[in-house]
Amino acid sequence: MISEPLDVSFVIEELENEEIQEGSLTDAKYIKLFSAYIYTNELCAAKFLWRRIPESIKTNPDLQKIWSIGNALWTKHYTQAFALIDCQWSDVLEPIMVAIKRRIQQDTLKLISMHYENIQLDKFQTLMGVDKEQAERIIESEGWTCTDGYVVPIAINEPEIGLSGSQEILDRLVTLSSFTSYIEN
Amino acid sequence: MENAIAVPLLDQFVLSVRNHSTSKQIDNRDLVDYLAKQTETLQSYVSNLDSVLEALDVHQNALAVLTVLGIKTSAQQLGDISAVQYHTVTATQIHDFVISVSDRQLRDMADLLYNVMKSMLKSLGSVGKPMFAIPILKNAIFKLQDKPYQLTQLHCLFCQACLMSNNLKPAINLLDQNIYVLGSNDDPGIIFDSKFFLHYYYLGGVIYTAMKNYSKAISFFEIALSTLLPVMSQVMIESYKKFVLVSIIHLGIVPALPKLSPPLVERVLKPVCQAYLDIIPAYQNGDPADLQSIITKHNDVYQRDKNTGLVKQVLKALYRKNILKLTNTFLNLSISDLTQKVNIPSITETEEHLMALIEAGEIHAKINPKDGTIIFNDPSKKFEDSNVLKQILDKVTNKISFSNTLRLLDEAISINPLFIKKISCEDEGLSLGQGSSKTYQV
Repeated sequence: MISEPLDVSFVIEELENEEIQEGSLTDAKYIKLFSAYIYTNELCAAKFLWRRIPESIKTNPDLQKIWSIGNALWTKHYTQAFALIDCQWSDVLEPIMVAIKRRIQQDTLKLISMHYENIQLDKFQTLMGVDKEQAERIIESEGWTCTDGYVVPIAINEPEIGLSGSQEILDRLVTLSSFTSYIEN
Repeated sequence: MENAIAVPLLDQFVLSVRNHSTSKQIDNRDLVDYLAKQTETLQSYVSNLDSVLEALDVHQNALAVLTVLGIKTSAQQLGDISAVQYHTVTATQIHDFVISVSDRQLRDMADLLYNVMKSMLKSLGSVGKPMFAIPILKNAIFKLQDKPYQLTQLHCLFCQACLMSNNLKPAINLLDQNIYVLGSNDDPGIIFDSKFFLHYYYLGGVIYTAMKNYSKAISFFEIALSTLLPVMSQVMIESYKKFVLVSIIHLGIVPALPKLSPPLVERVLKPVCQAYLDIIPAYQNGDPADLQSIITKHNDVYQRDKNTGLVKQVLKALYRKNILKLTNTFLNLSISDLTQKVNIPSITETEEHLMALIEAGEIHAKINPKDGTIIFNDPSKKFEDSNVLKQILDKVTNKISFSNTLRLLDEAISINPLFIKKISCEDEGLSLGQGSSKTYQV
């Protein structure tokens, strides 16, 4: 389930700057910026972007579809959002949509592991936007169990900081202790 | 025919301006007076002003150039080109001016610059191009500022431009920078108009509310409410309304107004904000039906003030608050019990509220649909985490740099001739110093 997170912050910044300099963007660039906001879960920014997109561009069918996804996520209707993502996209948008879906699934998975002692299998499917077979595969790969129609998740821990971090930790401790000794004396 | 009269008059204008700037007077009050008198003449020949701009030197006659640009951008009759074209071209001219004039000169005419930029933003807004103003204002702010923690006259306009163009992210970058100093002019004789301060913090609060950063929004409204004004302003009343709503949503209570707020605020504000104050007891009683009836009763007011969205969120916050109250009492609870106790219409909705609460880190609980219960547990925060360490260090470093800034400000105040004069005039000089300590907490 774990995939490399996509770094879109650069893309977002570039498009935002371009929009301000030029006053507006092309259809394709608005679509790119909008889906990037959805990918990074900046729904507030997406909402305001929609408000400022010129009316003539808003009629673009792809943009309309992405807007409905954003809308479904805003109102937390995940089933609807997944249904909208799962439709046919152009070659350009396909990878973005796959990435968005994967991002939402990862977030949801973490959410479930934190919030639920156990969860109905069908609800799990709805929240993750997958069918039964896929759901079982995910459950297995995460090492979770499924009994009597209930999924029992194992809490996902934040990734531990490896050895590379230890020097940094030591540095921080030294700085902190120097602060403390300064205050005490 | 008109042009024939226009040109000599404008020629004369250019000549007089040049004379003023070559007379090497340190005080340019004469020029200011002259420019004020010429406004009408200039306004009647808007279409010829480009020739005046060409004849004037940006560095030598900066004040006159800016005045002319101000008249251009606020003009109504536009000649034969379209309004969009006219106003964007004028805005570009203003931008060029901002870029070429020296920082020092720009700072000296910051108030005039504000007026020009304000008209420019209004004109750009009227032709549907408010976003055009964002980079211009941004550059102008950078030029006015000596240090990033200075509040300039243009900050509030920048926020307004962002709001008008529905593009809030540029404003967030600006708002995230704490402000310690008002104005960029070191001259103690120049007073920073409190309206710039009030508008900035009000609009900043609105922007943070829109981006759902409620804790920042509350502190911005709080600062807006501590503005010292001779008379009550509508902006302050609006700040108070939003302050009440956002505080309830985010904190569950409305904090007392900052001590520094003028006593006037309390007296004048409360009667005009009754519709909002009614929400507070209804919320604290915890009965959603009560709150709903209050909301229905005052719906017109909320709609007129454009606060309905926030009011709706207050109702949602009430459910959350009621759930939170139960978590303090119970170790585990059945979901149906909870739904009933909190008066939530359906079990699914209860689960949604719970999810939101857990996600926000407000409660630590796990839902168990199999047994239909929720298990509340203690926060499982690990403090040996290196992230915690980083947070502590960041905070300490932050505080150190803040205390350095404070020390610098303190020094600046203690050598400010006006302050010394005031202190020596008043016997209670010390109490003044104590009272102002709150201002540092901006």
